[in-house]
Amino acid sequence: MSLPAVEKVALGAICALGLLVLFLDLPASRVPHRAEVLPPTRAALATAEADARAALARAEREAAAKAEGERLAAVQNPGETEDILPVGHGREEVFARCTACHSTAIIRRSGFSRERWDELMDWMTEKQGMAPLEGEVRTLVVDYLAEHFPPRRNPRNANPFLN
Amino acid sequence: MAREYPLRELYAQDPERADALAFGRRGALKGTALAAMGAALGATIPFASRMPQGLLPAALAQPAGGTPTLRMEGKAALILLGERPLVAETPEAMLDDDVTPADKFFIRNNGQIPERFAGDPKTWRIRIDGEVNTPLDLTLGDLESRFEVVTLRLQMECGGNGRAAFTPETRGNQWGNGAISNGEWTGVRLRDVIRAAGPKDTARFTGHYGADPHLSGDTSRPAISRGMPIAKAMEDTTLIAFRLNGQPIPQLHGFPVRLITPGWPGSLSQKWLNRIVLRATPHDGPGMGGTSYRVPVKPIVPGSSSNGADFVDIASMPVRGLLTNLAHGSRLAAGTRRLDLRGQAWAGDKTVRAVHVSTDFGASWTEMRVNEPPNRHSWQRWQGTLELPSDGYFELWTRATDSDGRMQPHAAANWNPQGYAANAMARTAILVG
Repeated sequence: MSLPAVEKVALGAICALGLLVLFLDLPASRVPHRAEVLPPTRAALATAEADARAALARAEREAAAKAEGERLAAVQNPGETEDILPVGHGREEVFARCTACHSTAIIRRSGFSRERWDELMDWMTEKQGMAPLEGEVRTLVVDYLAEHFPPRRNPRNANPFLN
Repeated sequence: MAREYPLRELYAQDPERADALAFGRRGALKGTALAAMGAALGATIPFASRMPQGLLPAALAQPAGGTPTLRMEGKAALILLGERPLVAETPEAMLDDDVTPADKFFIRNNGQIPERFAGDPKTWRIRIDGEVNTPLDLTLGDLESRFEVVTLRLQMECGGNGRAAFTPETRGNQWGNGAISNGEWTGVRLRDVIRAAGPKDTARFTGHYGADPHLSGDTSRPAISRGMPIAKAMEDTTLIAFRLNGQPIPQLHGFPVRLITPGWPGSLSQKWLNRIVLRATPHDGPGMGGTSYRVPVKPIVPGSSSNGADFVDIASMPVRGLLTNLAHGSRLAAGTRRLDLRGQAWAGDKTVRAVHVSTDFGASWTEMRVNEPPNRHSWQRWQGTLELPSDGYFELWTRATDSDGRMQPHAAANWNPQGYAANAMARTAILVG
């Protein structure tokens, strides 16, 4: 089976073109990237430098924030244990429930009647999101607080020159 | 029984200092002996019997529930009222600067201190929405470039300042008179930002939100979120602030952006500010309603119970003056007769007209000179001279009078369950000789 001459020529031309395309696409024959040979432009350098500076600044900020967070956490966590409160029936429950949110400083510096302590439990639940305290546990907690932290003369009014 | 705790705490924190303070000795006990002393000061040994004869240092003259000192990088030795939430008061004698340095600022948190924003501070975002025509979502960079930046000296005072003077004692941190500051704040006027958002006629109140997590860790609850009538928000001294004394605001005090609402309870100066909502009705966030930041209109029996339903929100804080160049508990040389005194005074939205000092429990008064404030809502410097009649024990009572002629009372007035707005006159005890 033979092709007409014109088709042979056409086929030859297509093959030649294909070879040329292949030849031109060989890696070694590709036009080299200018960037690989020429130094980076001033703008590119500036961008790269700015990126590096921003990354460094960000890393510094993150490190500073982390260090500061650790310092603040240390101050906010006095590492209290139950024995910071006076010995008594109910101490364990009071310590566990109250220190879920706050340190004992505010307890130890407060002094209320049993009625006021009892009201405070409702306030903590309604305003501060404490789990409701009911029944025997509530009695235990309020009795302990009322016994050990009753109303008293305010320490800040104490005379600095007397015992 | 509870009397041992302050000293025990002190031994736990700084045994050498505790020993020096309590027994006037330095270096007598070392290492394990010091630790043993700290342990010995437990619940069974009466504190008083251990004390030396004679005068006590003021730091240890506080009985049950005394106040240890804050030890923290970047902060002065404030009176530590609580660790979690972190709360600390500035001793009155530390408030002598006209512009309060950042390290001497009192600390009040309602929640946890959030982690410091690690991004570029200029990218911190604040939303203004609610009853506005054009809700805004602004970065700190936008704030600085779009609005006029102003710098003002502004009071910021805790609504509970002076609480310790209430009898009987109320709930809350037992502040003396040191929950006050007068920093030089740089920021933009909240008024300008609200105007840019186009407030509707229904925009009558604000509500503020910050990034501090609730103490319980419950992420669905703001730690505190208070608001004010629009008139206060539109005052030209109410700022969205981003610098304190020319520096970025310290993390502890609201970095990178906070509100400053001078002359009103400090809880309106929301730290770590990220949203302000304009409302048709008073805000209802934590810290609003009931007995929170509210005082009786009809005075109630001190110590009685109330749900605060007929109380009103505190607006302007009351008048108060402090003596700042002589510390409570100072001992002066025998023969001292002339006292050069100075201090600060302020009166919320008003100004201070006069300051008087008495050395005889109010039987007689000497008028001091009071400077004009450098700008509205700054505190005012006062100074003057007093003569003492003899050696001995004196209390210097400082009494300020506001521009309406209202004076500080001798005792904290208008008792309320959470102990707000007490402004009993300050008492500074001194001993001459």
